[in-house]
Amino acid sequence: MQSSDRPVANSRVAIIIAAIMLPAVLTLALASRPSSVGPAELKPQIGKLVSLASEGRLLAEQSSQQRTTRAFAKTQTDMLADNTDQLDQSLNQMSAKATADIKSKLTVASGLTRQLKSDLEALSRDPTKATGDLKVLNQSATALEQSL
Amino acid sequence: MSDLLEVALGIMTAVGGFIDIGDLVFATQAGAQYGFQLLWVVVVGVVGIAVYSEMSGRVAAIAGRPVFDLISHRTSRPVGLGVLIASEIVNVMTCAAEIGGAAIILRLLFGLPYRWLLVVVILALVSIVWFLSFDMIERLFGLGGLGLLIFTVAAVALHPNWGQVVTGFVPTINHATPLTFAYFVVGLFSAALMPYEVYFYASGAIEEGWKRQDLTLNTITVGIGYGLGSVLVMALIMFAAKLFIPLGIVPQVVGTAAFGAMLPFAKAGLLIALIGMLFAIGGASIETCFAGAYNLCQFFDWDWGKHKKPGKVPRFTKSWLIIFAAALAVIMSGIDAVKLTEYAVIFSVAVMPLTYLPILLVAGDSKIMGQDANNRLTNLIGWFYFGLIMVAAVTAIPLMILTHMGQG
Repeated sequence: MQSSDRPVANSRVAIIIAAIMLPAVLTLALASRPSSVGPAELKPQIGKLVSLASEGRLLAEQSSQQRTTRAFAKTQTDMLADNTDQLDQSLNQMSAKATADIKSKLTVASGLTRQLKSDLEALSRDPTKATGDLKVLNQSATALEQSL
Repeated sequence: MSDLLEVALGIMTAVGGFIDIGDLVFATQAGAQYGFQLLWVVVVGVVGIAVYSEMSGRVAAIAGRPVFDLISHRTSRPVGLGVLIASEIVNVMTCAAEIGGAAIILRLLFGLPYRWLLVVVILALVSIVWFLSFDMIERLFGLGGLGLLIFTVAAVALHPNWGQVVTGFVPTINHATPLTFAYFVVGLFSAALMPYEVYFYASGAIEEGWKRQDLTLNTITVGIGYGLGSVLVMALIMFAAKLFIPLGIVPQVVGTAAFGAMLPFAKAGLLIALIGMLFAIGGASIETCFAGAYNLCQFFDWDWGKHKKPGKVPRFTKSWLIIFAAALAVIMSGIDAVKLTEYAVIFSVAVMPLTYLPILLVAGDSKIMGQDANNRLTNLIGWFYFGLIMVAAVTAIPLMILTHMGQG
């Protein structure tokens, strides 16, 4: 140690560490309580569906106009499809805890998610048709989001 | 003339090397959700990283001491070891996210399988680090990263409402979703102040043999280089706001950012953006890996330095090779690169206070720094930012939990 180095007191370090860790642990404890799934929990998931459908539509549009490369369109589509799978899984997990008022909306959301997966698979074959299909799906998802 | 060229290259390198995957993720998501409302956070963040990088570069030039040397000497051994372990975990996480990001960009460019590309990326990075000098590595990735300037051109070409842009520089709170807004404030701030940046910057200053006469270069690099680099982050927010909000898109994959260049400039814009992203992310993966190796060697007083032949510094060489291997193992496990980035940025705030406090204390210590110690104003700004860092550190993880990583 250099002669002029003055170590930070351990008590101060302990205060810094406690200040960081305590709120994190408390929040984790509170947030991990089991809770039911209502409109507030469903809305962000539908927002994700809107986002994925909208991005898919944009990608299909750019592909049909040949403004993107084949590798980019294919890879981005695959990644959007992976995210759609994850969304489908989280919607399925939600259904067990869903309150009665959102059960029907959750079913609609699951249907739209599966439709999105299918539209994304069709994107590389016929981007022009996919543009139209994804536009319709995006409108349905947006309407569902606004109903929550 | 050569000095001027050196300064210009230094600035360009700092600009091109300013962005990493954390900035790409948080800035585009922030713009897509809150428009221009978070531009002020970029300014706050860049001033913070500039202040602390300048201090760490100055301490390196005057006292010849890199950041982790300060941490290990300014804290007790157990505390120093704790900071080392925490910072190594964050470095490996960040490095893994950057490697994953680079492989995704290559996949977007060539359409090859992701896992193969992860191996290609790691082999390329190891070869580059092994065969190129420190200066060459910095220049290669910094200048290649300038391709990201296409986003600045795109942000202007998309004709944003400049009145709203200016308003975005006024600190504000979003009353509709205050917690998610706060999560992005902390995320953008933390992405700017990732600790690996100062570990790498100060160690790099020692690698390049900085002395007192290099203090002007230090000030110019962080002042102008980081300042211009932050314009890139602002451009990401601006195009995301202009492009994604009307469409309801919130970027969830790395490639979504490339739409910002593709929509106005078609294939040419897309390719320039992807190449810029590849170099910026690739450079950041080397920085994070080196930061981890520097920290280990500095803490245990092992000989280190990229300027020395690998065989002359065997522990340093093994350290960076092991960090690359650990990062590859993490990303090969199948974890999503974007999620990993968010975790890395948020968890990095836990090591921020004990990274930045020793820098502040030593830079202000006239017994060590002599006439180059912090003046009152620098100390005041340093302590103000340390307060902000503490607020970010205390709130980051609770906000991440409460907002489900910014999803509301």
